Amino acid sequence: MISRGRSEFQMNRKKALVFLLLIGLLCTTFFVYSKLRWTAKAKSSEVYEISVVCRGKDMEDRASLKAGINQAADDLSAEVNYITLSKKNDAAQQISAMKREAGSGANAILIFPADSESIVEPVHQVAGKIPVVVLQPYVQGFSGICTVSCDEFKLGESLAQKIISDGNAGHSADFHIIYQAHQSNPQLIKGLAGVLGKPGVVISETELPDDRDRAYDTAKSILMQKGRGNVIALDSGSLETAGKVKSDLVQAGVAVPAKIYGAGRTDSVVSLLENNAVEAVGAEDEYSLGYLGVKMAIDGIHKKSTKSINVNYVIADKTNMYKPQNEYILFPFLNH
Amino acid sequence: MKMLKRFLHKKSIQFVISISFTVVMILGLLLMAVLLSNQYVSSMTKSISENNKRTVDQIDLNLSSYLRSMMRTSDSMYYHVIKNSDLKSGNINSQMDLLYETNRDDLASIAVFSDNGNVITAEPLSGLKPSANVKEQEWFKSAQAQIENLHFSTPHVENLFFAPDGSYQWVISLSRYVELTEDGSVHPGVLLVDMNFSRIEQICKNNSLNTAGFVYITDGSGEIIYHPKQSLIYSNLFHENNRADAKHDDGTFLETLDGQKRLVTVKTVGYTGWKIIAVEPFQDIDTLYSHFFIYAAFIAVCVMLVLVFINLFISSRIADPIEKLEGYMKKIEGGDFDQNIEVSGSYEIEHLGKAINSMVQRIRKLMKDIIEEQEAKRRSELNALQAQINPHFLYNTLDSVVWMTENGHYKEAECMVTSLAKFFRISLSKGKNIISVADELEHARNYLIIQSYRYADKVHYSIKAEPEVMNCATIKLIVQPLVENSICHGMEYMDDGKISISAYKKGDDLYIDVADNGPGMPQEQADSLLSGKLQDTTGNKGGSGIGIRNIQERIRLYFGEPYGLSIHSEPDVGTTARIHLPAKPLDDFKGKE
Repeated sequence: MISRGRSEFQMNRKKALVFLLLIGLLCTTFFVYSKLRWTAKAKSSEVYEISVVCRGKDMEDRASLKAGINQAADDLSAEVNYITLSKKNDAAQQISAMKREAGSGANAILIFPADSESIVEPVHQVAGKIPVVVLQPYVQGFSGICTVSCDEFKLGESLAQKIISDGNAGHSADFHIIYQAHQSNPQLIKGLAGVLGKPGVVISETELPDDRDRAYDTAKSILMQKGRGNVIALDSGSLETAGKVKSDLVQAGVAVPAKIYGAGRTDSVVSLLENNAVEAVGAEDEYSLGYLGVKMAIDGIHKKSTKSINVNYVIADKTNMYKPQNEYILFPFLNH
Repeated sequence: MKMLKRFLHKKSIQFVISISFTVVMILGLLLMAVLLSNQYVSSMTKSISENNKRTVDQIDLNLSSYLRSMMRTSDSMYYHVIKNSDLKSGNINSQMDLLYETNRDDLASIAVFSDNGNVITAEPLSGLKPSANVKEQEWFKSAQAQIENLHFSTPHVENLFFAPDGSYQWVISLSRYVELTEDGSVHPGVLLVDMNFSRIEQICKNNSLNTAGFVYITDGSGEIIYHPKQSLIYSNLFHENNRADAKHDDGTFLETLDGQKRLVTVKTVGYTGWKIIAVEPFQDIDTLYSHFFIYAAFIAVCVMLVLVFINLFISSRIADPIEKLEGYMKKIEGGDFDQNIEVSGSYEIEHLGKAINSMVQRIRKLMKDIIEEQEAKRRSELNALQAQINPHFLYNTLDSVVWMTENGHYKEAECMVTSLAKFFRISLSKGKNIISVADELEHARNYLIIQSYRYADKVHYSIKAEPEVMNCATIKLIVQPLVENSICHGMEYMDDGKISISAYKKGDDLYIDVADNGPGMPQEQADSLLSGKLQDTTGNKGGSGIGIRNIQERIRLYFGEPYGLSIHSEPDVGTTARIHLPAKPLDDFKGKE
């Protein structure tokens, strides 16, 4: 009887042990689950630091792009730090800024690369450490790096077709391409030349000086040149300069036969378009450019596969600039 | 059901109780979990739906207030300024300026146009863009088409006037048909009030929805007036279900967009027909639900474990005594009545145990009585047998003694009488049934001595015994009948009969062999002697085998199987009768008889 009692006691003790073990196992599982959930929650509420390395001193003329970046930062829990350069299009300074940001804990970098081949290699180096998204590259060689831009070649082709449809591309037409210092856009030029470049057609290029006054004078001299047919600005800065020169000259009673076309969008450019100083503009969807840039950077942080993306663009003139499909690109809806 | 019954039929009572309780418990818990989950989701949905409704109502209140103030501005402009002024007098400008200044935070501009689209007056004063084509504007057309109504446009860039700072502003146009008085004559015209779009944005942004929730506004046809992701929608980076949502009546409903469930609350704004739409992605509710479900499942599993443990405990408390009883019963079935059944548990089981115990005790007593009765019967049979034999044996022996005395063989007579005395002394053995092997062999020896005198050297015998068996216990008078059988059935008609008795030990067993070289018999006949099937058809005296069987039964009665007697015989060779007993010392039996 004593031995039976002992065995019953041992049996009960065994059962109690199994029970305690099961409860312990459950509690451990639950603890692990809670920990994982807490980690996932912490991870989901993690704020990513993204550095945007600009091409110049500020982004004041890129309000739409900045709005897109800020909206994406809001939606995707990112904190954006804009890094500007003391000198416009300074590749060395941009490389230094990019490396400094990568070394100081930025989770990803968005860069508007300077118009210099020297930027390509450092971008590749930094991309080996953290995700790098290249926005609006002027130079080639970023293969393997996620890029976001509009299809500059197609934009060039569309703008050229607009010039032709306006009847400004006759047999002996003259096309003068201008662009701000160090902002040549080879793909855009290629697109333009592909459509406009016919026998007898003269296509020339001028890089405007950095200095605003000198740039104004250079643009004025180009526009005032006798027999000047069309001036095509590759960027909003040169387009603004050329349009302002024409507007000023027209207001001064000087006839300017040259037609101005260009790529880029600012409020001034739109105003010049509305006032007939500029014939047509090719404007890219900068809001999407900024938004998708941040999104790609965060996808890169999450190790998702990213691919280069082209954003939309429109060719607008005075007659269609208030059409809804052009309105949202030309007059960005800046509710952020 | 039949299969279940069949399955449970062979299972133990503990298994049946445990499985039944567990199944009922799990079903109960599952039912409770499902009901609780549904209740939770339902109350969460209701709570979010109510929050959405509150938000939408609040936004409706603010938006309506703003729109009413704009409509009041338009009314004031029309009824208090335009209707009371003649365009020629010029005082319309000052009054409009006053009205504009009063509402400038909400207003972008106020303008009055003639029927052919010419600007009559505008605030803030700025030039009409040369490109402006007023007559082609939607708001202008709407005002002219439905002269009795106020018309709200969708958001658009203000494109009529030059802005003083060169900027472009997004506005919503409120237009109406007006009657203008000039030189006393009335002309049709259009009054335009451009509302600041940013004001609507402010109203909608301040809402109490969850992080992922948002509010947007459409016009009656689903065209977006305001959306927090308006730029993304215009850029095709975000899709909204605005057309479908705007078709819904006021209320809350569930919809799926791009694979995501959303709770949508719609409210129509008075007069404008605009729809305020609050969207709460169900993902938040799903996340909450999944966390709740995991917590609930954890608690349910814990409760289930505790209940299973309690269940096992209770079922074992019920089943263990029953199983213990069953174990006792199995032992009793196997013939083991030496069980003292100790049963604890419920009253019924305890009572059952006591009843079985009592029954076993009675059976045990009955069996003991039967054994004693049988033993008594055997003893009386033996006594009867002995009583039969002894007079005959005594008569023959005494006759031999008389003959020896008459012929002067005094010494042999003395020896024979002495042996007879020893023979009877051991036969009596103070009434004991168990004696030592030494005594039993001595008894056989005395018998053989007597018989050897009687048969005048026709019988030769030898007795051998291992010294260690001499003190072993044996049943009294089991060797002598075998010796007597050898003499009667083997030696009587032989001249050189030999009987050898040997006692030896093998392991824990004691053997006593009685072998003769008599005529023997077939083995079948020898076996029949023990089984009692032998029919005496030969007419030999004393051939029924009663004595042999008596020895067998007595051995088994005392020591049980496999002990007993075996006979090995071969015709013309001889017969060996082997007694098989446990090799136990005589001391073990002292006091037991």
